[in-house]
Amino acid sequence: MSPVRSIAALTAVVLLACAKSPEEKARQAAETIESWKATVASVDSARLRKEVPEHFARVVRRTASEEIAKAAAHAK
Amino acid sequence: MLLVSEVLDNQLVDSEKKNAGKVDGIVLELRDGRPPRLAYIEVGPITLLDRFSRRLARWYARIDARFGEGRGQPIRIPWRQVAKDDVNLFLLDAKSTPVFAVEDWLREHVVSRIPGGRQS
Amino acid sequence: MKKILEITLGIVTSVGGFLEIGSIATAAQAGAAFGYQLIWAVVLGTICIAVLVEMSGRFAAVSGHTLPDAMRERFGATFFALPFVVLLAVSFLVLTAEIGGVAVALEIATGLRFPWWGLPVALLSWALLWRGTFGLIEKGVSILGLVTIAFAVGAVKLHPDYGAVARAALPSLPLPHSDWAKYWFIAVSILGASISPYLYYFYCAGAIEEKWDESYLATNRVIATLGMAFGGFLSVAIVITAALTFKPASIAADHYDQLPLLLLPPLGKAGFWLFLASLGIACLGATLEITLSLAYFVAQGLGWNWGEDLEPAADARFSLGYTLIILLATPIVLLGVDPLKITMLAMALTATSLPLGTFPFIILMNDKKYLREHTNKPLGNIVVVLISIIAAVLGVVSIPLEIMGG
Repeated sequence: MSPVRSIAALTAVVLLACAKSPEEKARQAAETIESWKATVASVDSARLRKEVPEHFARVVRRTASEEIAKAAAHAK
Repeated sequence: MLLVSEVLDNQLVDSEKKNAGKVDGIVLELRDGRPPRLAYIEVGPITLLDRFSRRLARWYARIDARFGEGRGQPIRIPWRQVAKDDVNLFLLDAKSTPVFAVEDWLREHVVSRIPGGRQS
Repeated sequence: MKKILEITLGIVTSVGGFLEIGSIATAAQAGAAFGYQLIWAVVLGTICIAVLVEMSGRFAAVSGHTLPDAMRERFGATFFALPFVVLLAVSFLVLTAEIGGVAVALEIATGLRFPWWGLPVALLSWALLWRGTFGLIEKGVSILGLVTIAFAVGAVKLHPDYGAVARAALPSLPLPHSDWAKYWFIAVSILGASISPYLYYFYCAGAIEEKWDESYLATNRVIATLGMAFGGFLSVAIVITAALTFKPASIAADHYDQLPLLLLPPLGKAGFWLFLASLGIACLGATLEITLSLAYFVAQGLGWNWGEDLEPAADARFSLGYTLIILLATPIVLLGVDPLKITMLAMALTATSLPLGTFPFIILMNDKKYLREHTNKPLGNIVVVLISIIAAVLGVVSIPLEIMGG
C-alpha cells in the first residue's frame, strides 16, 4: 500500500475508534439539555431581580429551546 | 568577500533611511578562474514570487506590465548602486529605480482619495 | 518619572492585548466544566507569553530589527514562507473571532443580531487605524480595557478557596470520570488563547514605533512580566468565577448567550453590563492589535515602509494592507458564523502551530549578530521550546478528538 493510503487508513481507524459511543452521545445530550435548562432558570430569576433586560431573556429562552431540540435529536 | 547571506533577503533603505524593499534576488556574474561576483540585486514581487512559483511570477508580471514603460520586468539594480555599512544596505539613487512605483501609485490613486489618507 | 509612567501604560497595554474573546471563552468553559482544575494551563500559558513578549521587546530594542524582517533575513524567504503563511492564516481566523466578539457584545446589549454589527465594528476599527496613531490606540484601548478588572472583583466577591486555587496552578490530569477529550481540548485552547503570536509581534513593532533602545531593557522586562501576569491573573479570575457560578448550576458556558450570566451572582445588574463592556472593549482592542500585527508582519517581511504613527499616505501599501485585512475578515461575521465556535477552533490551531513561529524566534534570540551580549539565557530557551512542544502535541491529539466528539 502506498504511504498516502496507509496514512489515510490509519487516520480513519483512529477517528472511528475515537467516535462517540451511543452511551457517550446520550450522556452529552443530557448534559447539554441540563445546561440550557439551568441557563433559562438562571435568566428567569435574573429577570425577576431586574438584573437583565427583557430582550436578552427572550433571546436566551429561544436559543435554549433550539439547543435543547438539537440535543434531543442527536441523542437518538 | 561578500556572502550571499549578507545580501539576499536583507532590508534596503534609501538615502533618507526610508524602507526600499528587501533584496529579493541576486544575480552573480561567473568568471573564468575567479570566484563569482555579485553583479546585480533584484527587488520586487516578480523576483520574490519566482522563488516559489514561476506561474505566479508571470501572472504578477502581466498585471504589472500594464502600468507603464519598463514595468512587468524584475527590477534589476547594479551592485555599484548599493552601499553597505555595518547595519544597513543603502540603495543609492532609489528614485531612479521602480522600487517605489507601486507604493507611489497606490498613494496617488487610492490612499489620497480616501478621506483622512493625506493629512498635509 | 517618565519611565514610571511608561511602565504603567505598558502594563495596561498588555492587559488589553491579553484578554479577548479567546481567553474569556476558554477560561469560562474551563471553570464551568472542571472547576479550578485547568488553572495550570492559564499559568503555563502566561509564563510562556511573558517570556516571548520580553524576548521580542529585547530583540527590537537591541537589534533595531523587527522579528519578521530579521526572520526573513536570517532564514531566507523560502524557509520563512511556511511559518509566514501559517501565522497569517491562524491570526486571520482569530481576527474574525474578535470582530465577532465585539458584535456579540453589541447584540446582547441591544437585541440587534450580531451579523448586523459586523460592518459598523469593522468600519470603526478601520477608522481608528486610519486616523489614529500607535500611541493613541494603545493608550486609549488600554485605559478603556481597565473595565476588565470587574472579573477580578467578581471572583473576590465570591470568596473562593484560595488554597484550592493555588494548588490548581500545578498541572494535573483530568479526574477519572470526567471527559478527557474535553479536558485536553480546553487545556490546549487556553494555551492558544494565552500564547498568541500576534501579541509578541505587535509588542515588537510597538517597541520600534516607540524607538526603544538598550536603555529600555529593564523597562521591557518589567512591562512584559507584570503586564502578562496581570492579564493571566484576570483569566484566572474568570476561571474562578465560572467555577463558582456556572459549574454548580451545570451551565456549560459553550454558547455566547450564556456568558453574560457570569458576573450576575457577584455583581448583580452591574455585572451584566460590566461583562458586556469588558467583552466589547477587549475584543475591539484585540481587533486593532491583530489587524496591525498582520499588516506589520506582511510589511516587515516584504520590506515595505510601515508605521501606525505615519499618516496613511506615507505608507500606502501598509495602510491599504490593513484595510484589506479588515475587509476580508468582515464577511465571516456577516455570514453569521458562530463567533464562539470560531474562537475555540482558532485558539486550538494557534497552540498547535506554535512551534512554527517560536522555534525560528528562539534561534534568532540566541544569535549574537542581532543581540550582541543580550542573547537568551538557557532557561528562557527551555521554557519556550518545552511549552511550544506541549502545546503542539496536545493540539494534534485533542483537536481531532474534539471534532469527533463535539
